[in-house]
Amino acid sequence: METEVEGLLRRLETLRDAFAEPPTAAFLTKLDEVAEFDPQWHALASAARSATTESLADEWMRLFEGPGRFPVVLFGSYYLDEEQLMGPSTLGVLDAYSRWGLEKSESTPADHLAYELGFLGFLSDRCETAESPEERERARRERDEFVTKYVANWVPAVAENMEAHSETAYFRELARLLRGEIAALTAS
Amino acid sequence: MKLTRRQFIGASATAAATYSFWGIGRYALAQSRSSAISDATPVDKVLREEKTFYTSDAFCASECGLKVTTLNGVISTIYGNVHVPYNAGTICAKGGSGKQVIYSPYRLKYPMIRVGARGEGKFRRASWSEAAAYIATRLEHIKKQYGPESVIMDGGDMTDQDPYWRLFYTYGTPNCAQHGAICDTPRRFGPQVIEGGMRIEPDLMRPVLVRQPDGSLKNDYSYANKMVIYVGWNPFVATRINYESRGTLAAKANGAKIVVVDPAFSNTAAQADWWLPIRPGTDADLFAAMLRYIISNNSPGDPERNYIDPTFLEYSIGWPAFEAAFRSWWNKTDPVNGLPYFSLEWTAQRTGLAASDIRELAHEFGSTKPAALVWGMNGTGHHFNGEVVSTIGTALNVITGNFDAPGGVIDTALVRSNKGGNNASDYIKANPAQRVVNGKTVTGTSWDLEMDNNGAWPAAFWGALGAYPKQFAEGVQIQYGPFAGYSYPIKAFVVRGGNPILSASTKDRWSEVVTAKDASGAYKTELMVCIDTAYLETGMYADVILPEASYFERMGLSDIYPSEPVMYLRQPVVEPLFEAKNQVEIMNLLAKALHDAGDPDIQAKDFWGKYHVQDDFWNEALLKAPGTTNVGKPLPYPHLPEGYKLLGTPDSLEAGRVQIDHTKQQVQGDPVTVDWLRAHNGVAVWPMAWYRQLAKSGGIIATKSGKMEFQFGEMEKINAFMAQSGGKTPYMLEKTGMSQFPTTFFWYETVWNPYTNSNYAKYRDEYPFQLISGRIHQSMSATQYVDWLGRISEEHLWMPLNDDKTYHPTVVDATGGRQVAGVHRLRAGAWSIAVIQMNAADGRHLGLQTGDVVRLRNPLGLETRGKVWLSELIRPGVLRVPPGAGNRMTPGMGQTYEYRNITPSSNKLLDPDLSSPITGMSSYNDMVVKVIKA
Repeated sequence: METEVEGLLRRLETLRDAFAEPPTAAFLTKLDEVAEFDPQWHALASAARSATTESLADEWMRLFEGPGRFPVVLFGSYYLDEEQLMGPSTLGVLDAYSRWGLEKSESTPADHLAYELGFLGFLSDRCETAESPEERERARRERDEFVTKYVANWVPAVAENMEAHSETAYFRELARLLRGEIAALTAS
Repeated sequence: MKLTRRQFIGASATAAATYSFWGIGRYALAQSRSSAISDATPVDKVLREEKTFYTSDAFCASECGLKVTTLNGVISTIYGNVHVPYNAGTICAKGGSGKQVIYSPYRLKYPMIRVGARGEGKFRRASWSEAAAYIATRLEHIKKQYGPESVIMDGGDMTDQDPYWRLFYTYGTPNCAQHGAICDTPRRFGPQVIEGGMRIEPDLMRPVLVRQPDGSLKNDYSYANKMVIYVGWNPFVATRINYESRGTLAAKANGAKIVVVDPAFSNTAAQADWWLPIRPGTDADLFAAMLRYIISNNSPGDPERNYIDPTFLEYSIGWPAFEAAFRSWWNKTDPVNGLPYFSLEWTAQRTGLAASDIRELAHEFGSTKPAALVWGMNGTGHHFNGEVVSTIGTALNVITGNFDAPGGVIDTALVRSNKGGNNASDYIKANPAQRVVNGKTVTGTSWDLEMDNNGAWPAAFWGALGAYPKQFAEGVQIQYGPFAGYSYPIKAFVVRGGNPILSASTKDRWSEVVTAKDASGAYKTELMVCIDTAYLETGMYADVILPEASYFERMGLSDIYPSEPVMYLRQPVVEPLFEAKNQVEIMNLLAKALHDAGDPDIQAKDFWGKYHVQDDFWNEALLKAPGTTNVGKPLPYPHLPEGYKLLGTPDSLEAGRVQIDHTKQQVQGDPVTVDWLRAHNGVAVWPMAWYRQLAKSGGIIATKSGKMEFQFGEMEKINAFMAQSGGKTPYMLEKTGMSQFPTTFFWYETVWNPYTNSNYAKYRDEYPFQLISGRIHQSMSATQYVDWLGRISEEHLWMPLNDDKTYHPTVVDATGGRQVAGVHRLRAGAWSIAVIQMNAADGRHLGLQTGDVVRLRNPLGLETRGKVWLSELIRPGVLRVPPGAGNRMTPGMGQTYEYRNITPSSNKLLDPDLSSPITGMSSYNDMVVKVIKA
């Protein structure tokens, strides 16, 4: 049986990969595998299967990258710091990564949704697997604070924008899963 | 292969304890090499790291020196660099808006390859290697099939394009262009042919580092100016010459009289003692009248009329013939008004100014010493006959003894520091080339294949970018030089940091030619590449987009039109975001890809094996700094030989830490380097001579003869060059009635002006408005993505006439937790947009009110639309719009796109078939329109 944390990590990983780049064939294969064990992901995998990789990539560009104006920005500071990148909230996120000895791998701002989902995965893991109770408690506090300060206050807006502007079931379904996962983390 | 659930988890990691997906793949969060920050870490190490950088802007062509502070690697504050005398600590609203550029979520982030049609704006993300290979493969195909000259590289509107020019010159094309070709070349023609320079400006940049008679060096803040006349020039708004706004005010406070000649009451006019609202396109008339008056009324014995300083005859050639040619027009009669040319009455009729005002202006300019007559971009550079204006204007400054006199005028292009030489232009000029012309194999150099100077524009010293659409459509016909008779198509267009499709001439004509297809359905221009930080209109037509590091993320050198040799560093302030790369990296990457694609001309030793980091490239460029000559009184360096070229840092030259080469007449100090600049507040300032006019040449000039040339040696050379190939007259020159380029005084009328050109008199009643443009902060092609500028209104050209609008469904409660549903709302009247400035009386006559939407239609049937702003501050019969600020079709950045259908574009109305006959400049400000209420 998959443990609760294993399930959470798997969902966060899949969401992170879904928001990291336009869907690749490898990702869609992996998505199929996820959906095989988790009914919540059936609709997303089904939507992916009914589309082509190219059409999903086109829609990705239109929603998230443009070029030019596009309807869904995937950076927290856009929502929290007056529509600019690298605002105070970005530095807050970066500080949070630093507190746990983590650094990002690319020149993309630290508050990209994909980074934040990965960090939530890291913290969720530490909540369960850190050696000392103090460290597990510290991870729980950090996760709660991170969700409150840097995730829950803007990610629902991303989901809303995706639902409003997407022309494909895939991205609407992805928005639903994202919203649900963040809501669950917020509730926890 | 089917997996079990456990196998699936195991495929990612064997157990939760080691299942660290966050550490792998794209957007990985890896263990830091430095130790983790914990609660025990001292607060000062957690909270902030503050750094200061001296760098320079490149958001607009002014390239002001900046002092930028970063906090934890993020730009915090942007101020002017007080050590750069050009802007002396000041910056404008654009300069202060840099964060909106670099930190815009809509900047270009990744290489992209087009998946839709050109102009459609559909792209897919690509890797740098894929994009580079895509470009290289096609460039190699074009090179083999059509020759490298079929590729145009446009370095755009920034002065740090040398890495790209180096690449494409080495690739083999002689066709490297830049924004200068569509900036104001007619304005530069007169200085170019008479004294070898480019830009005549008033001598009022302060401070200037001046060698004093006692040998000391002093930052001089004194103003010797007594009169400054700005004609069609508005330095108080968005100009390259930043210092002229503060310098003009200081000179005025010191007693100088400021005169502005402009159809509109500009911000500069608002500071002037005298505003003359001239009719558009008649600056040549005014200058000719001033020259006639000064020549006619000069009286050396009369202190009131001692207009001409005869010493100019000692250091000039050709004046008697120039004057004779000028006088030969005095008895001719103008077919439009029946009056003798250049008389006060003739000028009054054409300019709409009072004859008494024209006489007074000529008298005051002639009798006031020192005085400066300065003409600008809009008034001169953007009219068909701007070359006439700048020639007479230069002559006026020279014969009155104001050239290089303290407080007079200075050609800033001649005194500034050199910063180049590694763009491979020497290589392309010497590179042997062979082509088959009319069945015969002909040998020459690659430079002999250059499309403009060997083609339809032999005298276009910056190229004829505005006329490119004709050559895209018809191909390049080489008419002169060894390859005369050869033709080739344009097959690739690589644009970096410019937006020619919107701004070079008419967008419709540009988009037509770059989307034209052959019989097989393939684009005739096989490759379009756009390299930029922002997604502008030209990017919409690209096959490949390469994201360039912004000016806060890359290196370069700035030396913009100062009154003394100055060089300042643009240094990276922050690391490039996303996958953006700097120019040297992109040059090397494309070079390597071309090499791998089999290009024998591209070798490691010239690119990636030579320039390992961008410092290497710019250090080499700095080897030629300052490159100025030790002339004037007192000499800038009295202890160094007079007339010798100066190379090296200011401190080494001052200390005499030099090697003197008497054969080359050259003094070499310690080379200027990027590190030296970093250690000296980002800037090198070399001293100037206070009395430059006392140099043996009468000033700092750069003509071949070493004298002021009223007999234009450069044009004689070009005429001889054309004659060697049969002497065919270039098609645009032919329209003026001339068969050769002028070598002394010349005259032709501007176009689309019913008041001065009989060919257009018939349009006066039906098209009663002259349409001109006025440059403002928001006029730069890329300025539009600074939304903050929408909150500023400016000069009745950029005014809060927005429609009520909602946008960006984004906002959340700043306290966190609760999402605020909804959207941003811009109430009507809250946001400035490009408008049409119209005289209030004209508006009333047409029954218009401010805010009404109108259509402007010209005799060619072309239209644009926008809202009118009724104003008392513009001459009746004239409409003015900001260039580049309206009808923006790229969904790039900023609100301007949202208002594209209610904002005007003057470029849509310009005549696409006319460019200035000598310099090839688009005639942006020559058009008449009627106003139709929408």
